[in-house]
Amino acid sequence: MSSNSIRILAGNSHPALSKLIAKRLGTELANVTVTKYSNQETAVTIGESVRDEDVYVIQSGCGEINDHLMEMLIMISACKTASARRITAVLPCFPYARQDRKDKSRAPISAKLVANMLSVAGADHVITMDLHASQIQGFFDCPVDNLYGEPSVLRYIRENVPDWRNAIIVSPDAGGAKRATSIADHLDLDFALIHKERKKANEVSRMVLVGDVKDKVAILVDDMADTCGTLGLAAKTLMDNGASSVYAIVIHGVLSGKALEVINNSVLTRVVVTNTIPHAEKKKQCPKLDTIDVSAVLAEAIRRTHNGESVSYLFGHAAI
Amino acid sequence: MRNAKLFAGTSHLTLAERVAAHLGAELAPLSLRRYTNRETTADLGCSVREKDVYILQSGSMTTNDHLMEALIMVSAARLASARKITVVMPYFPYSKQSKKKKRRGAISGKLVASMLTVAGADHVITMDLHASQMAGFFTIPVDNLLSEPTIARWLADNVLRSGDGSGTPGAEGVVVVAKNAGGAKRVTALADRLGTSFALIHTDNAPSTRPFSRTPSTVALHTLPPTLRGPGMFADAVSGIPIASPRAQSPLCEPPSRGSQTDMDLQTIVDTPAARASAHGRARAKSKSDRKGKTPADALPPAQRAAFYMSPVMPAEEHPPEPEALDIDNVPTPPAAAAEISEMLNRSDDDDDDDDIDDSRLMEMVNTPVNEKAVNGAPTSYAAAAAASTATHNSGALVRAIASIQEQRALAVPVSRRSTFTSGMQRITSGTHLQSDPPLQPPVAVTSWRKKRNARITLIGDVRGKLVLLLDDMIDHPSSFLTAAEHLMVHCGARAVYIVASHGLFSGSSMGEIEICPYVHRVIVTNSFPIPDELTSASSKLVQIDISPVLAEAIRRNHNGESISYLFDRNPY
Repeated sequence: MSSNSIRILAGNSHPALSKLIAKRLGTELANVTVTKYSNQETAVTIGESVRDEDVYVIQSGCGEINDHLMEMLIMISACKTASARRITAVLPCFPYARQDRKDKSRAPISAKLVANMLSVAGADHVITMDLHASQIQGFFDCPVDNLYGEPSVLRYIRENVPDWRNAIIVSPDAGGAKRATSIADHLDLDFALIHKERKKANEVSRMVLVGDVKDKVAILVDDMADTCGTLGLAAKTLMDNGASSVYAIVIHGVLSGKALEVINNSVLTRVVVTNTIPHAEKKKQCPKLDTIDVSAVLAEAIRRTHNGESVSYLFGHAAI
Repeated sequence: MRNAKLFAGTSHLTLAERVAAHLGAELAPLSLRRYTNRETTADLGCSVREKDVYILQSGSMTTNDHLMEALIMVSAARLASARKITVVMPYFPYSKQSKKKKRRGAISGKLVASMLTVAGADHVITMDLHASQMAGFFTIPVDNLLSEPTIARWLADNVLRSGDGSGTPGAEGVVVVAKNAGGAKRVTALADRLGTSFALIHTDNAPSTRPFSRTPSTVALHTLPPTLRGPGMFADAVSGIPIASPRAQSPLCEPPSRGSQTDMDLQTIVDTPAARASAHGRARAKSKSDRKGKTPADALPPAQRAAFYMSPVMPAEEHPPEPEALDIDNVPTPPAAAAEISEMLNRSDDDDDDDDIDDSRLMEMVNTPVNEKAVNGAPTSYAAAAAASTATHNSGALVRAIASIQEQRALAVPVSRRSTFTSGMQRITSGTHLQSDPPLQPPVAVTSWRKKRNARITLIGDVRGKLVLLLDDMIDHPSSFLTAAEHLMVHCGARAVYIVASHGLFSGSSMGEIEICPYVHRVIVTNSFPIPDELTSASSKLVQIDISPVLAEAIRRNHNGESISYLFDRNPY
């Protein structure tokens, strides 16, 4: 892998992040044109040679998720037929990651389907971040590097949460307890758990707090925030139990539907998300939003993959 | 069942017979043999052409043999023109290896899934997968059955039952507890089903996982004189004395203190608030351990000291150890000691965060010869007996071990210290990297010692005066359960602790350890995994719930094309 060079191809899902990554790598985004036929089919033209190159296709799972997925598959396939040496799919936010098991009878495992589609299209390697369940790595037959936002989150807390030593890390549901305890351990902080009894999807009923948050800065930690109903209610539960203020830190801020309204009206002091999903517009409507930039982590992973260096360093360290 | 043939592998015949009985069918004739070179061969004893074939095989203590057996049976059925082949694996082997553990781990669960598919299976029926996402490893349909309804009903009938004046606690008197954060979801599900409250145990063991603890370790190694890298060094590091107290005289103690030296160096390098905070935390823990003063073992020479910590039967604090109390005859010379130690330490599991569970099993394989020797040598100490049974699963040795433990029970100790020590040492050996990655050797031991010294167990929730159901999906080496149980009983005022798990593996001396632990009153598991009769009859605490009706019903419904989902929240009978 010495003679060939990096080619970064960016999809339309998150141009800002792609540019940041390319800038960090000291390279330009490759020239790609994506058009749509009148019947809404996606068409891709790769504007420069990728023959025998090390190609990275960046596309996040957000917005028009199916269009973006299709776009990525077509780009991968185009590179494959154009004799790229190796194609790596970079998915900062893995689409369909929440459909990773048969949680109900006859539920599809769509994450597996996406994994198969990527492989079939021609991806040789996948780089992603904070998979909803790390077992998704096993859905692929090709190598998957699952990066962690955790080091960046830790750094954010240390640098931006005033009085973080008096904080308590709270998981808004039982499934996220492990993630929260890991962060609590690293910061040497206490940990609490909120159990919600969910009746319907995206609708929360009763919340029970386990642990003591009195007079502490509560930091809610989760991997994904969608409608933010959970976060809003969790914040309220925490304030009712005597927390002095409530932060929320999420890796993937989908923030769909009424999320911004919910955040604005909630008792949350700040909602921090990483830029795996674009939210520049949303920030204007919601002053409580704050960003952790993870482009450095992704760029570094790409650089290390290209140079054949170990990626595991990034699991414990934030790329600066 | 018409047009169906039920074949049973040798892993768990009792369960297979029960399933067959529930189905009103007979197990089909099958001959499984071994060539002299231990290759397995299967010979289906009846025609399966155009039949639906069901192959029952659970994971077991000889996992690889039984897995191979299942694959060969599937392949044989496929070649014999079976119409559809369903593999029924109540305990799915390798299911704990379902994700990459941070760096360079293999996802062996996926490999097993691929192997079954390649062999020709069309459908898989299993139960309580360690991670339900594993269903996505297959390209064929997977039915992941749940034992929870069966277990919940048993608990409701036999433990919770209240209002009849029999003194049973009822839902208010019971609390379901997870021993680590990863099990929180499972626990809340059972608590919701039973209508009880729940709690969570959190063990803060961060220091050793902090990234910067690695770098200085490597540095420390390069500064070591070569003579200090041998097994003797290892044994000494196990006891952890150098860290606990700086007063150690032996030159052997030098490297660990260097380790702390480099730690200090590092603090200046990584001068972030966090580094300072953690340094502060370590200092706190250190001064605490200093206050605690010498452990009785400190008085012993290194090799004996290692043996001392290995032995679960530790003299109580008031009685300083008589050398006679230890089985000095059986204390091996230093090189052997290193092997033996790693063996012993396997008894504890440390899957708090799922990250280092399987290292111990690996060590067992590596060290088999040592143990065979121990078996032949008619072990007299618990240490040797347990070591023997750990590797060979020699239940006879275990029964003897239990007996010898019970004799020595007068000496038995506040398990608190024992469990702390064993778990402290576990980390040290959990390392194949110890052997494959020598640079980390002595310092790793150092960090791990500090780690456990520093480990805080915190209960989140309330268990005072309640009966605790300590729940996880499987129980193998019980040390993390026992540590949790002790914490619940001693510090949190629990009334009693019942361990509840779907799969009971109980390898090695696990059952013996549970048996002598005064803080655990019952162990409730299903019969998905084969447990030798000697073990079940030797244990007074074990309860096995029969899940064969669930499996039988799943097979029946599958065969008749009926929905399985009925079984997810109801009992089949």
